[in-house]
Amino acid sequence: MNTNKEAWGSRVGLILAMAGNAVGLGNFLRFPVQAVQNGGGAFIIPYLVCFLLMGIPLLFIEWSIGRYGGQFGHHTTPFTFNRMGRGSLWKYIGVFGIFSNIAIAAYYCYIESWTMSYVYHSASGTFKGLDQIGVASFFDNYLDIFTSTTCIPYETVIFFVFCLVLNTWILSKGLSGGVEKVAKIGMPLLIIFGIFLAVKAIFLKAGTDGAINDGTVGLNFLWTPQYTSLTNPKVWLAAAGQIFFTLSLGQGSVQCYASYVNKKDDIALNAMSAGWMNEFVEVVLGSAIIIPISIGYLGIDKVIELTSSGGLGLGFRTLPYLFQQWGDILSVMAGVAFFGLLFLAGITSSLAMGTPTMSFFMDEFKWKRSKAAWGFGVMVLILGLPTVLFFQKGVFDEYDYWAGTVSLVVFAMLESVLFAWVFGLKKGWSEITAGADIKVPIVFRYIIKYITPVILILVFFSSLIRPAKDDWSKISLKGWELHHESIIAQLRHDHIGPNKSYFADNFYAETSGIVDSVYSDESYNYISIKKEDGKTKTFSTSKDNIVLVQENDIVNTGDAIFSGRFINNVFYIDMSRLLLLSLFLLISLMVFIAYRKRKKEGSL
Amino acid sequence: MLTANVKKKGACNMNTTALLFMIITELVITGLTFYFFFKVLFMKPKVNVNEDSYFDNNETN
Repeated sequence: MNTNKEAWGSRVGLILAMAGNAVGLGNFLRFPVQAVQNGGGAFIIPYLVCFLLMGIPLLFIEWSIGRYGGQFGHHTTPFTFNRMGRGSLWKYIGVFGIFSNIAIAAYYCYIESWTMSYVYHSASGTFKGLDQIGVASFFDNYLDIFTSTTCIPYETVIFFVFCLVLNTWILSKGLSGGVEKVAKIGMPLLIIFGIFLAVKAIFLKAGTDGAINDGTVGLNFLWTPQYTSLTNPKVWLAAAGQIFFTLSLGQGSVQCYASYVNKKDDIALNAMSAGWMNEFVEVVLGSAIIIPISIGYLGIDKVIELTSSGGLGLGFRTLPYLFQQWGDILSVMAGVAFFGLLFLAGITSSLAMGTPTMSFFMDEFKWKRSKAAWGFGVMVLILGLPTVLFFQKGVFDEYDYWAGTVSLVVFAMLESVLFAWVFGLKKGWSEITAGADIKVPIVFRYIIKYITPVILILVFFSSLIRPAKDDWSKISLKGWELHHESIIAQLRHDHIGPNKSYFADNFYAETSGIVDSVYSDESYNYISIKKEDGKTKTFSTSKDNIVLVQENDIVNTGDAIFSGRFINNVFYIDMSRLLLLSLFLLISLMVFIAYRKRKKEGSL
Repeated sequence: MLTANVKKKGACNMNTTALLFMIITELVITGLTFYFFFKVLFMKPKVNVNEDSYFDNNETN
């Protein structure tokens, strides 16, 4: 007998929770940066095409898989897939629907804790009087757990644990008593904060408050289409990737939320409403904040340079300084609104990541809601602490790559094949349209059957063999150089450089150039190397290790620059992969135990 | 280069293509968002409210 009695309080609550699941930090930090890097306004064309051909069909697929499973008391993908596929392997494919959520929550809660901390620092005036370098250093110091930016020791760890406890506590209140309440307050508040900042950004005037450009210069930069980019496969891959991230597809959380919808109730209109609400927040609000403000103060060239390393840096290293230009009161309001908006976007998503694990424990092991929530919290704590403690060693990036990128594509690809070809589109279409409050265009039947699986297979194989510099003309039967972000290159550690052993007596230069400076502080020795392109790369190590080069020395990649005792990043990277693999195997084992239990009970 | 079309200062810093692109995209997205959300808000439950998924709808005696 199923003891899981969770339910939604209202339809609007469900839609806001589902939209909150989709609306995340990526809507404000990732989308505008992707648009800037991939053809400006022209990016919106492949983006919307991918939304229509992949996003909406996958929303229909995931909502209907969820509601279908819920009819049989399955609120997570392993047993729903088992029922749909009628094969022993499908339940293990469904493991991705729990695994991804735990692994993503482990690093996502960490970013969420930054936003929480930045709300506190904005409100308490920490950034007041800091120049641009001071604000950027604040962020770097914040990430170094041994350097306290305030009087709070181990501030980073404390905020992470506090954020996780808050998430767990809300989850322990259940769907209607916790998740839905947060979404009902959080989503409208997020939109209000977003509108406030967007209006302020758009009406920014050159010459006022230190701005060098009008806000519309940033909008022009973002929206001017570069049509040539439309023929570049890289742009299409980036658009498809953005659709995945933004809609939280291939993760298992949409299916879990939808599994609590009655079989007679609509899912088609719900899916469209939640999906378009996310698009509104991303395209209309997301594009009107970070880029117009930063170009307004820093100019286009500087923003291009800053966005090359992603949106996180721009948001945390730059914006608090720019807000200072608006005066004492407005800067506090803007800081609280921007980081509060990011926090709300983050928490509504991280709560969705907790629900599948909780539902799995409640369905299969009859755990009480509270115990299930704290069980999830402990798992995320164990997996998340390495991202906090070893952030600069690459652990965070590994989690993001394997759990937050590759797993989603693999899961969505297999899920679309299962739905359209194994479960069968005849049954699948009936599931989508049953109880629908809108007429679903028949064209989606063909898109779901043929186009969506093909796009997903293409996205997966392109990620597997992505060529260096995204030059697809180099693909040939004789072989080609792989992009360092391609799956094969990542597996082979192509991006690691010369420091390939776990433990070493020397540290080797990872770039060629001239030693620009050698310096040290209380704890570290630093070497800055100026590369041929004029950019500098700085390497640091503990003060116990010896510096082997001097200023103006010429170094080549692979030359020893420090000697002493080193644990290289590759060690932390492989340990993170091992942790992720262990988590996947642990969940698979639990699914196996639950399967045998169900078989014994005859409840499969 | 994107910067080719950018005016540093002036009455309108956006070129016509960018402005049209932005306005059309944002109007379509905003329109569809409100259309679907209002449809949800004003849709009457088809089934007996005590049998639907949402317990706030349940009639209490």
